[in-house]
Amino acid sequence: MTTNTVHGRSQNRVLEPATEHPFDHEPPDRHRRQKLLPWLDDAAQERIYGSTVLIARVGGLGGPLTQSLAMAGVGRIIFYHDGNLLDEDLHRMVLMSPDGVGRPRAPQAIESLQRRGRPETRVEGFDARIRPQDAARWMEVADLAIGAAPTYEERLTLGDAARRAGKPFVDAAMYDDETHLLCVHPSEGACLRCLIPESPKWRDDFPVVAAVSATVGNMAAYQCLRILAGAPVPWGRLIHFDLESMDFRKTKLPQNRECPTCIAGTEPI
Amino acid sequence: MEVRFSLTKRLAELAGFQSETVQLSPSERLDGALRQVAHRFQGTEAAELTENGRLHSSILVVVDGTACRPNQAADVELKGGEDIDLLLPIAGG
Ligand SMILES: [Zn+2]
Repeated sequence: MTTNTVHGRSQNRVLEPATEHPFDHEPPDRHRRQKLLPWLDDAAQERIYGSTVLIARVGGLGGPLTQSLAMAGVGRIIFYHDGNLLDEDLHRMVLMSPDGVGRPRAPQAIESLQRRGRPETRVEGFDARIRPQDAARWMEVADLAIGAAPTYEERLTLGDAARRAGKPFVDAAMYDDETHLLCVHPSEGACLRCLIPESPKWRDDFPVVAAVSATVGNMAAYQCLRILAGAPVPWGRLIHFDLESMDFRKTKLPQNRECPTCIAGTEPI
Repeated sequence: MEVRFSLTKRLAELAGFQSETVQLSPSERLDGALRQVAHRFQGTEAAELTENGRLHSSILVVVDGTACRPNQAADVELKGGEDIDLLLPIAGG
């Protein structure tokens, strides 16, 4: 009896002769199947590997969204999500686990995203709400900003910073079985502040089921991947999808002539 | 003439109704129709989405698929029979 190490595991057994040449196989390509999509060739996949996204919140909507981005190979994910996990979060927050109730959500989300991404994936999370100065700094390195927060304020903070930096912005939101999705061009057409010049009063305990928040989260993730890959997206169109009636509507947003974000435009670099 | 308003879910919850048909005089523009809706919002939670009898600027008005702002409504002519959607941006995540 001899002791051999096979694929890193110690096993006490007689070593059988190999039946295959060990160098005949290509290294596994985790993303082979998604690269069968016509718009996602090797070059586009490399762009996704090299990309950085900044997102406000990784809860019921942002959790499935960032999970899909990590699985698709996005290179660096930076998120802000404050607060401790509640038991009542678990019905929708796919990045959290029951063991983490009472503890900060951000470290749990980092661990989950790191596990779903490639070994090279960088995940940086902050147990805080994003502020305008944070967003402005991160948009110097991020390729895309994403709004997935349950407040208009955080969404507008990212939307403003993205337009200022000349970077794209994706906003995804839900209420009950109603969902919104908006892809904002880096420099042209309506921005999120054109849609929301004044924030309406919001309901903190909005009705939510994971089937809805994850649906719009993944619709947004798909548009994010297309943007990062360089594929066309419906810029400036507000997508409104009602999951009760299954009505899907796409409306071109008018640019608000008085929008301070559009008037300020892109900061010269 | 008459036009029909439909409210998206969050807005309908605040206003207490999902759709409404309003009667207009032949020369009335979108502005007049929206004032009638703003009047219907009074006494409901949607009243905070009105100011001086007009709708809040964050309500997106979509007339037969074309969007405009409440403050542009005076420029929009109606011919009757239009379906007008009122959409309030949402923020759940
Ligand atoms: Zn704007």
